[in-house]
Amino acid sequence: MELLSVENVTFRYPKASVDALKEVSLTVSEGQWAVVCGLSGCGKSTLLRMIKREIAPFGDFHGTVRFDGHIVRSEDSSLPVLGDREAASGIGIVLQDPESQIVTDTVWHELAFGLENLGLPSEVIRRRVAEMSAFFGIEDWYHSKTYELSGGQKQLLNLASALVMNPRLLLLDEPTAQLDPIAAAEFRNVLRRVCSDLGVTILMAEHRLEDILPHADRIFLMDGGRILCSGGAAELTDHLHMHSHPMAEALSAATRIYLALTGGPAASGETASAGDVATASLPLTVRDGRAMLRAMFPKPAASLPAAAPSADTDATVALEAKGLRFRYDRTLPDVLSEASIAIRAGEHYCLLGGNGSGKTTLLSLLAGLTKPYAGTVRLFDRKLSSFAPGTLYRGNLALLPQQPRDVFTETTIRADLLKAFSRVDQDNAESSMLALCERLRITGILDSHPYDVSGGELQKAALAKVLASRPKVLLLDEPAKGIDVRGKGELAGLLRDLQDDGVAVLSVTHDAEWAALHADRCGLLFDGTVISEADPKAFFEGNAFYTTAANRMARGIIDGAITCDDVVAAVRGRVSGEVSS
Amino acid sequence: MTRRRLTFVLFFALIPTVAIGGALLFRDLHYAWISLCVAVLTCLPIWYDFERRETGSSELMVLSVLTSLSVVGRFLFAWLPGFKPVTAITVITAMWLGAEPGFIVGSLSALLSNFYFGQGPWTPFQMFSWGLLGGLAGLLAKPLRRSKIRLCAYGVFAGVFFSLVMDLWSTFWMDGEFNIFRYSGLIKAALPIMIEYAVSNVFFLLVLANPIGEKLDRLRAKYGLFREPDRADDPR
Amino acid sequence: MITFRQRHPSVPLALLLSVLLLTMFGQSPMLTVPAFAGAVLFLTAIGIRGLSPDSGSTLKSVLGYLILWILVTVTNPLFSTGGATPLAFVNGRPYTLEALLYGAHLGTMLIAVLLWFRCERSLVPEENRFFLFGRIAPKLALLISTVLRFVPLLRRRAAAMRNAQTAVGVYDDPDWLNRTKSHMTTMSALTTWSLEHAIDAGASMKARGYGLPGRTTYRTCRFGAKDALCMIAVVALTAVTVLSLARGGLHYDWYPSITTKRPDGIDRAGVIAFSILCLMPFLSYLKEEIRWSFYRSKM
Repeated sequence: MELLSVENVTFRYPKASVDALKEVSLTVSEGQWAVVCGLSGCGKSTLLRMIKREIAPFGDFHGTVRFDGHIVRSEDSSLPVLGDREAASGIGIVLQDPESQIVTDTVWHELAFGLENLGLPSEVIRRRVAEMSAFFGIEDWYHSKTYELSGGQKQLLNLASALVMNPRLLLLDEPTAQLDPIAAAEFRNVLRRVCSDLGVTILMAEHRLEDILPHADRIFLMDGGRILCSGGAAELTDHLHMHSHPMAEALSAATRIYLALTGGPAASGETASAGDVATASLPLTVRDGRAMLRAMFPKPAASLPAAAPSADTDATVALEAKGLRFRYDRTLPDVLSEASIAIRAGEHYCLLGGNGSGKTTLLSLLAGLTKPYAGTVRLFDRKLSSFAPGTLYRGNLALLPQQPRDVFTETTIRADLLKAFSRVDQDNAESSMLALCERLRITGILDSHPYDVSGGELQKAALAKVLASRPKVLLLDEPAKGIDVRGKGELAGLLRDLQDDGVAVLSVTHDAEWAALHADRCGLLFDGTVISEADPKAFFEGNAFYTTAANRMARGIIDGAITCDDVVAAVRGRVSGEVSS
Repeated sequence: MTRRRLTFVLFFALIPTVAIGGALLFRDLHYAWISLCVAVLTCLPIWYDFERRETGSSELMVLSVLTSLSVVGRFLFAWLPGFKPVTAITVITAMWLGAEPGFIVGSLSALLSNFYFGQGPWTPFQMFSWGLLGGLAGLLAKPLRRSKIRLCAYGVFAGVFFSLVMDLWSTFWMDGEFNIFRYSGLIKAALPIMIEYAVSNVFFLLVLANPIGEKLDRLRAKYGLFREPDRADDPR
Repeated sequence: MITFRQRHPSVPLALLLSVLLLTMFGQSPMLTVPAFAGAVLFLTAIGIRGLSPDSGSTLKSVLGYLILWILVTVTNPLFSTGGATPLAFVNGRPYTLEALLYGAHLGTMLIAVLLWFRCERSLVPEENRFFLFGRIAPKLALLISTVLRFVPLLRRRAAAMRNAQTAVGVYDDPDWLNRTKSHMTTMSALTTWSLEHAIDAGASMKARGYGLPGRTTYRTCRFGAKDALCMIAVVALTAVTVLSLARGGLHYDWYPSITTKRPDGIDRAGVIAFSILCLMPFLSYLKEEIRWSFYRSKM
């Protein structure tokens, strides 16, 4: 039965020159898990907000949205309309930012908030809140303050606060984009239970296809405000591959390897390079991928030739920390104990580590923002403390924080960047600013407010501000978080250019794929120290769990394969006999 | 609904009874008692009106954020005692959003910031003073927005007013009457703080008025918040 | 642990209000001293067990209170010249014994009041503090609840923003002018961030039905028989004190010389009642301690 139907919806924001949604039609049946995917700015968030009319943006709306046969929104006002109470409780929504959706100061009050609004008596609220807490395992932090929760807990609370109202349809707008991989996986597991155990229908906007395709019943691909294709994982994969859509990069490693080897589901069966691949159905997960590879490489493991040792082992050390120790309070345990790290000029060092391993703390110590209680940080062999005030962050060191918004203080990006550039070079501020923005392709957003542009654009603008002082060492905190595949590629390109100019780059990240593709060296921060430092190949090969999906797929089958390209090369190589079996 | 109204009526009947009864009971300190009742009584009708009125969720959150900002401002500048942006943020709120929001932000800032900085008998008088300074600024919104000099003058006035109210109450409380020696003594002792209040008010008003005002205007334009018919003819 | 914490919040609030108002306005050493003693006993007891939220700074605050007390005592004769026993003359005005004693009383009262405000944190659990408020004024209570969330959030944000801006070279010299300027910039950026955040939170409220007619308030506390018993005790003790106050039995005349009425039975009852009132938090804590040690010994 159709629970939700969107019919010919067209929407345009006030003062915009193009439609954000163009003739969008889709239906979702009761109990389904549907996904709307697409790059940032494709209109998927706008679409979700059209369905949740309480938070629908102002603008020019045409078309009809129906929920369970009742009109949610329509330009034709004569039709029978879904009541406000039914709309509020029947359709729940969870948005991207875990923080901004929380309203009250305690967990229990947050859970009760929606039910209070519905005007339910205390006894009913008590029962529903209790049930929901049990379902989510919230009992342990039921009395906590909402600001004490971790990001993952906050997002679970947001989900619980929506579900406690007994919605039939749950809208999710990139709910895991701001979470670390472990919390994101936990969130998806809970969602799966919500869908299968509670029978709640889900419509989710997402650009990370990798983790979501195995769960989805139906996928809609959006681009430029239109729905390009709809169907199961196979249809979507086929479409992305056929049209070389940028979203193809967001597919899982198994799928991408499969596509590279077979030339797509449509072309399968007549592939020349690896005939045995075709027999497998479309692989989505690491398990599927391993089965596919195992079929090609029975028993003895193949191995790729060892990588050439990375070039500049004798380049000058740009930033070096020795024996750093840090704790937030005398009574608390060490966050960092004997942490040492060295970054050379021109290299990109990726520091990985789990949640709460102290990555951000280490970064702030390296940037001289916080002082360790033992150990030293040296920049080009000079202690950070020996820099005169105002010289350290000019032309030497710069840090891009996790929230790019934090670096902006002015009302337009142009004003902000100009201020930053004129601090370094009064005369050529404007021209050098424009040159950098040209290179970053952000000249189009210069007159926007920093809060009105997309996450990827803001990240690049923040990077421009950071680069204004021409730092020789660039520290990045989770640079790839929340950016779509295209944005990641552009960012990586820019970092590569900087490295060529001799800038040392350190990025701390959860993202193993990002590190495998773009790092020159990797390290793992664990238990307060940096361990297992190596080039990406050796690093990820040594890890069994904290590694890329391609590596997990190929482990024990093709040794030394870290990226999808490695696996594809190995398979192709076997065909032409280069790989030692 | 009717039950809540009844509670309010009871409340309003109770307060004057308490005020008069207390004044009779605490003969020696009836000035102090009555001034305390006045401070509390000023807040109640305005809070009641706010409670009764429909406020959209975003408007409510904007008031919440402005209150929080003035509390956090006290933390940010805690290293300069007496130097706090509460008055300035209250006045700015009133100038852009009206007298009642100004009063609410001012009085709640006093109540809530004292949970972090220490509650005391001064809390009702801070609520009263900051609330009233906000309400008054709301009534004077147009002249204050037109001229920086008037805004500065208001800042000085606010600092002096705030200080004098506190000292007046201390005198009443300590002596049971208006003791001019104590009052002048307290004012003299608190003079540096009074000057600091005035200076910090002027400073914060000059620095924050336009940025916060612009942001409130931006929200009003972007999301249509705080649209009241009587504010349609804004000079800006 | 502290039994008052388990009572309906109206009980400790009534107790606090009663003690505070009677101490502040009773104007009698017969009330000031028990109030002071009750607060000190309670705060010391919970401080020893580490239950007080601010037991860390005990020494400093004791010193602070002592200085305040001396200051008020010593300076009072400078302001009030009544009194029949001049000890000295300052600027041609008498510095009298009576004024000095009144100052000592004033200082004790001031400190007793401040200490009772400190007790509030341990008597009323934070989550129940605005509970009563929530019933009469749900919108204000919701506003307060959101502020209590925003304050820690914004403080963290402010620190992050300052760091972010420092590390891109916005702030240069650490002198006080720049420091103030940098805090202003942070404040301004924080304003933008938080107002934008307010809109998102507002949307989240609306998405969950805020603004529908007939909103209720979820009540987590119930007023039970024990609460009623406690409340009756508080009210009765207050009434006895008020009665003796109203009869003028506790009244002191400080000037020209200290005189007071000879206390009769009702006056004594008033002082005893107020003393019990002031000792209630300490006694209920003590009772709980004893009960626990019995319970543990039986385990």
